[in-house]
Amino acid sequence: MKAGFYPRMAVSGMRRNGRLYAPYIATCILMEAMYYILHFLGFSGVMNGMPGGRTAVDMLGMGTYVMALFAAIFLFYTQSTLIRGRKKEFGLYSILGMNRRNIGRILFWETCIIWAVSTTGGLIAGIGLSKLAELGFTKLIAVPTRYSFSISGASVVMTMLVFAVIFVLIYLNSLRQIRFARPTQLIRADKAGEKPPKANWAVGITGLLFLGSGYYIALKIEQPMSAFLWFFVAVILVVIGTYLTLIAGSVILCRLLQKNRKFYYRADHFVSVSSMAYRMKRNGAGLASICLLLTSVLVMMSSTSALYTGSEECLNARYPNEIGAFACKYGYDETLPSQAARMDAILKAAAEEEGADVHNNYTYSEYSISGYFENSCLQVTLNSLTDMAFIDYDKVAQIMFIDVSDYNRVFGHDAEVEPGQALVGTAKKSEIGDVITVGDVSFDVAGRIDESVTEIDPTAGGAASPTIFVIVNDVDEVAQAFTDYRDYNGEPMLAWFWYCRFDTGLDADGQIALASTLSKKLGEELKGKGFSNYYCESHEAERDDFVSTFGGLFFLGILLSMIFLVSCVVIIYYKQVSEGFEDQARFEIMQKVGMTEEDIRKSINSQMLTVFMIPIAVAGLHLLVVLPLVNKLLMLFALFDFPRLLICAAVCFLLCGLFYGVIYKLTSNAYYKIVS
Amino acid sequence: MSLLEAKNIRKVYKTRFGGASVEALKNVSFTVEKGEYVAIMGESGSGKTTLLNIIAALDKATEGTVILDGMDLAKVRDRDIAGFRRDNLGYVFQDFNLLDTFPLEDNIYLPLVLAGRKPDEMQERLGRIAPSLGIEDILKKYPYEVSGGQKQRAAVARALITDPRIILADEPTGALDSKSSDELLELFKKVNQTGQTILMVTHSTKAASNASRVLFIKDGTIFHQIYKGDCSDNQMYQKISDTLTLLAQGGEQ
Ligand SMILES: Nc1ncnc2c1ncn2[C@@H]1O[C@H](COP(=O)(O)OP(=O)(O)OP(=O)(O)O)[C@@H](O)[C@H]1O
Ligand SMILES: [Mg+2]
Repeated sequence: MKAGFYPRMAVSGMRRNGRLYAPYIATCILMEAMYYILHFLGFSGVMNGMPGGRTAVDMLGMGTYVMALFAAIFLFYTQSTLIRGRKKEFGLYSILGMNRRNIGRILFWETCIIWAVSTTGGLIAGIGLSKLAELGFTKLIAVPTRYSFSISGASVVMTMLVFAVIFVLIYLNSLRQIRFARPTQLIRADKAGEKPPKANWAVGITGLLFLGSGYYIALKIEQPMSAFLWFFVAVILVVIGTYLTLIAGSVILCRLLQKNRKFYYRADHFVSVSSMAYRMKRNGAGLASICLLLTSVLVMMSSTSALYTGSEECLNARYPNEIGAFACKYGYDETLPSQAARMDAILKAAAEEEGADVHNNYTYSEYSISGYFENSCLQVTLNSLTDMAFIDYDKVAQIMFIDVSDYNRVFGHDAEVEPGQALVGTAKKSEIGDVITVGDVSFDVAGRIDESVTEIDPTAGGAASPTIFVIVNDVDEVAQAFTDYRDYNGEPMLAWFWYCRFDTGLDADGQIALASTLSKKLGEELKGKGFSNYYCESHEAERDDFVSTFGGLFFLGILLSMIFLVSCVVIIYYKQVSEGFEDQARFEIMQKVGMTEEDIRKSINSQMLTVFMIPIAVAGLHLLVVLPLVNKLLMLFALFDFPRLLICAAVCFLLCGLFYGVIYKLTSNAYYKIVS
Repeated sequence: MSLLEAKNIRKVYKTRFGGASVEALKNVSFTVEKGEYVAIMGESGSGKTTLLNIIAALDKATEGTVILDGMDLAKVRDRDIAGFRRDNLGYVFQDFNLLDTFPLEDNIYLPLVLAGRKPDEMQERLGRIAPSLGIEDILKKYPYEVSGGQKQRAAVARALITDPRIILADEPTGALDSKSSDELLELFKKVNQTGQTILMVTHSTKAASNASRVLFIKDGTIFHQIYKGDCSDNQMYQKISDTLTLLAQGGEQ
């Protein structure tokens, strides 16, 4: 055969199917552009030398993997629908005397051409947009912007390579689809009579069970740490549940509607309900995909925007003072009180030497031990944590013993506590009985403290497990009762924490410099004394880290959301176009039988509206249910602002709904055009 | 007054790019009385489908008028046309035109549903016509599950269920084997005997010989017509064959 025959066949085939191929190639271009941008910002080193940008840049690096994986899955899926739509054409080729190898060669050229076109387009778009993305990124993470423009060779090569691999996979898959079909099958692929799906109660109920248990987990989880662990379980359950429910449930719903004769036999329901029932099985999966993409966009955007807009608040909650120091030692040690006094003095002296005006000084120490939190009256068993594999994070609590003299000094009280008595503070007020038992030691609860948990210890809110403060008469004496408990590593479970925080009146740079000086001093003092951890940090240095982390997350959220939304558009578009072709003949018949143009328009509208409302409505429900869980996760980032999260979620939902409405309008126009 | 009156109908198809236009019908006039069973015959391309489509208001005549039961089709507003068709005409197509998304029963109900009738009334009407059509046992099946003859009988039921003033059928036996064709013709005869007016386009002499009158179209005009009168089907068959031979020879009347 003449040279150039196959490429030409490939080109003309794609051109004939332009309505299907144009959006596919556009999606490829967009994904490659996005991959380039992520790689450019994450790996090329243009962000090197930006103070504080490290975390955010690393995050974008992670984002490239997500992007590549999503692109692979999505393009794979889209391309197989394309090939399915063209089976008839290939059947014709094979009847005209082409064998599978010939068709394979056409497909090979097709894939090559798409790769070349989309890589060229994607790189041009990516390079063109990279500066814009960089500006947005540096703005979000609040680092200075470069004024030069650059292209990263490494990113170009990586984009080409990654997508070459994806396209090889796609090519192999299309070969597989052609291989397993006979010519007659290929020709008849779309003509075979298909019975409308039966209502499959078993699958529907299984789906609801999955969905229900996912929801249950999302609503039930109370502790941030278990939220973190169970989040993924809940996500998997909800994903499976959504697919099963939408695939089977929608058929069941249509069947039920059809059984209701009064409802079904009405001009505006008759056609739409039956064609939905007919299609749901195939479309259920598409609807579920749209729904899950929307859900992930909503969750991503509401959580990252809440974090980003609330970053200052997180920062202040977590670091209430300009300078904070911390030290930790396992086990009981009678010299610790004097050690604490020495550290206070050293820090204060060193700070004043640097010109700081030390005020708002909070210093105290505490003994801590963790255990299971049983019953509604406070009872903590201590030997439950000996086996790591069986820890139930929902029950773990951390007890902090504070000496009443420390407590009085820090908060300016004059409380008195008898031996054997305790003042108690927890996040949840209801859970305190008359007696608190820790291990074998019981205290009579003499009262509760007024301060909130985070007021005493700003890190307590972000801690994995709830903190219970127990103010006792003599902390040294109490602590000695717990020296024998060991955890699964054989380490003593009892730990001594020391905190010191104060304000300095220095400027940002001064604070950052002071923190590192103090760190050094602390190191000199504590070296070789068996401390497991100690540091000194400043509000200002942490701010960079917070803004960088949250800004980076937000930026990544925006980029991924864009990709997900575009994928939604593509799925919806293909759905509309393929249904349009299917319905063309049907509406022609209906018109002949006496359906007016207006009837048709109405029926199309009601059908499309229902089909379109399902994903966004379910996504909204998903969002609503996981919000409490997301809130727990945000606590790990020290964001304790549920109202803010709710507002962010509402705004995201509105924006998303608006966008979705526009897609709906545009794609339904494509549908109308085909049908009429 | 006749039930259907077609006067001086002309139809010109314009090809899309303003090229040569085709004059499918030149000057067609005829009437159909209530209760008549009229067949239209003619060579392929002679304009039969065009004529039927114009009568069914699926297409508009270039010139001329069609009057059904005193109503001028040209005066029905565009947006009422589908409703008019639904309420007054029953169309039986060569290729059935059943919807694959509905079971036969719902296919038959379609025009009634569109007209906003109550489910009970629809069921009652179907109950009246289903036995004579022999489709009672297959009502719940989907079109692809039944034979061509059964599909066409369902299509006839769909045309009959609205009690139309006239049934229009375009080669209703065209896609059927001879046994199914015979059954369908038998059915048409029965339907006609209940007083239902039928206008049928056909290629089959046998089909036409069932009718009470046969119109012959050639080159876009009515070339000839013969009445059955008291003839038997066989005699009618013979008459029609003779006329067709004459037509084929291009002879004069
Ligand atoms: N939509 C159209 N556009 C242009 N020309 C048309 C159109 N429909 C029919 N024609 C032409 O009008 C003439 C009559 O066609 P028509 O379909 O009425 O014939 P027919 O008698 O039904 O033929 P057959 O027996 O094959 O069904 C033919 O020459 C045909 O080519
Ligand atoms: Mg015809």
